[in-house]
Amino acid sequence: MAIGRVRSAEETTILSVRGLNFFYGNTQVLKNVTMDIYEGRVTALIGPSGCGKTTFLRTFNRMHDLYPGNRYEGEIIHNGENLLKEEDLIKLRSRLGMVFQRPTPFPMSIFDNIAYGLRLGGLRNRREIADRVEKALKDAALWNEVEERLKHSAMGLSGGQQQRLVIARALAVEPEILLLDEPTSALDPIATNKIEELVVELKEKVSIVMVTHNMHQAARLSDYTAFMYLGELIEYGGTDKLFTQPQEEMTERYVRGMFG
Amino acid sequence: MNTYSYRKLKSALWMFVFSVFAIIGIAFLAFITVDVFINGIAALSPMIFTQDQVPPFMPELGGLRFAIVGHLIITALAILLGIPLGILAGTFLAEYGKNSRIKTFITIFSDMMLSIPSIVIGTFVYAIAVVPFGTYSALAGSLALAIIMFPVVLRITEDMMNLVPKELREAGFALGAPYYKVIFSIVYRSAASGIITGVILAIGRVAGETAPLLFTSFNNNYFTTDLTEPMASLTVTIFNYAGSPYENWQSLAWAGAFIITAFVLFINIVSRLLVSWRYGNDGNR
Repeated sequence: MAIGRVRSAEETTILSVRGLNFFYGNTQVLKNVTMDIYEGRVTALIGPSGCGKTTFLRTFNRMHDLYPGNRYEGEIIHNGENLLKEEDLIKLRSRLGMVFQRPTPFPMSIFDNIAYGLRLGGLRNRREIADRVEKALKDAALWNEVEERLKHSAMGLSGGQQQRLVIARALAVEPEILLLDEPTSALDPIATNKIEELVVELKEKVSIVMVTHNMHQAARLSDYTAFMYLGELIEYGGTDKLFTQPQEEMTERYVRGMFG
Repeated sequence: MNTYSYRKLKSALWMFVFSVFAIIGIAFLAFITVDVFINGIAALSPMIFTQDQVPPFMPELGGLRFAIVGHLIITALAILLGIPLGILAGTFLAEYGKNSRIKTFITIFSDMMLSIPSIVIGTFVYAIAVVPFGTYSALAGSLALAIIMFPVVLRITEDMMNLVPKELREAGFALGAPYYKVIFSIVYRSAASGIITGVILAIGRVAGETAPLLFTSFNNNYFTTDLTEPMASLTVTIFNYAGSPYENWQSLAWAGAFIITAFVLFINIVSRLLVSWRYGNDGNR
């Protein structure tokens, strides 16, 4: 098994995963995953269906804690703290935003969707909420399209707009890390394009970890790519290198489209 | 070609059979409804709503004010008791209790309660809320109706909340929302029109009940708003008047039947409109 560590002097580690095992009941889904995730970079997780990439992503913000019978072993260190031992999940989840496969707008107005996380965080000042909503929508490249109808229901937006709304909602609380779980798999090519452009812009502000089943997307967007197979991290490295000169045979076969 | 016409014939035959039975069924319903409407509207007059019972053989017709007001009080109180309880219990089953063993028990019992004859619930409430206090009361009537509503509301709440996609809840959690906020601001909002529809149907269900009231709120010949006393209701009054030999009372029974039928019909139409409002627009509220 390859140790996913990329030697690179100028990178700052924001998350370091050490010996992570994850179990659904008695089934081990992640096997001894060790890798560093770097600040201000886009890291893509690729691999065939069932390889554990989404499960891995969901360990970062402890989504698995919502369901019984799940168990973690190992460490995910962030700012010197082990996220897997963190008691305050509310605080943890406001530092790591998450966007899902299918857009998840809440059944309320566009404005209230974005303000949701801010209000949860205790922000009450109307002026400040309005400013941060505007900023988040601008950051998610949605402002121009919804400026005139902030009070309208978010359910009336198109799928691609909804997904950018959800990204804006995650950005509004100023997370350090954004977790994207196949964010474009339910979208048409034009909407996908917009989200991809957005991801590239956003890495100035936030570190991004992204699961994708689309290798071309990983190649286009990410700085680092991790290839997973059957719950193991097979290879991890700079995206260019992983796609052009993979070190493992399995990686090579996968990126050439020979299985998956 | 032969098999083709044979199939067409068979299809036409079956369509005929289905249609005949549908028409028979609808004909009876239409007959009842038309009968109630014709006789009921004929018996309607403003006095129905302003006057109370007069003894039989009197020249005046009298009115149903005592029964209408009593019915509204008993039903309203049942709504206040039964609906919050049903919604909260349904929420428990759909959210906090969804993986617990107690959920299985509650579900089995509530499904059983759904099919218990309402007269049984009436006698049960008689034992727990009439006998100990030594008197029939409006409160006991409301309690009986609330018990009938409870499993209906519980079931609909649970079903509607289960229809809310898991991802929507997760999106709430991913923003750091505590569970109760996810329930109130996301799940309830998403399931609102479905739950409201179910609640309205549950109200329609109990609004026309007679049996559970016979042993609980009983009847009262006089207008009252005292909840601790026996109270008249439209359904029980219809039961008494329709069986009486006095013409003025029978005529009032028709009027009462019309009022209650129209009310239940109105409730059903409202809930249908809510359903189409839910599925027919883009979710603007």
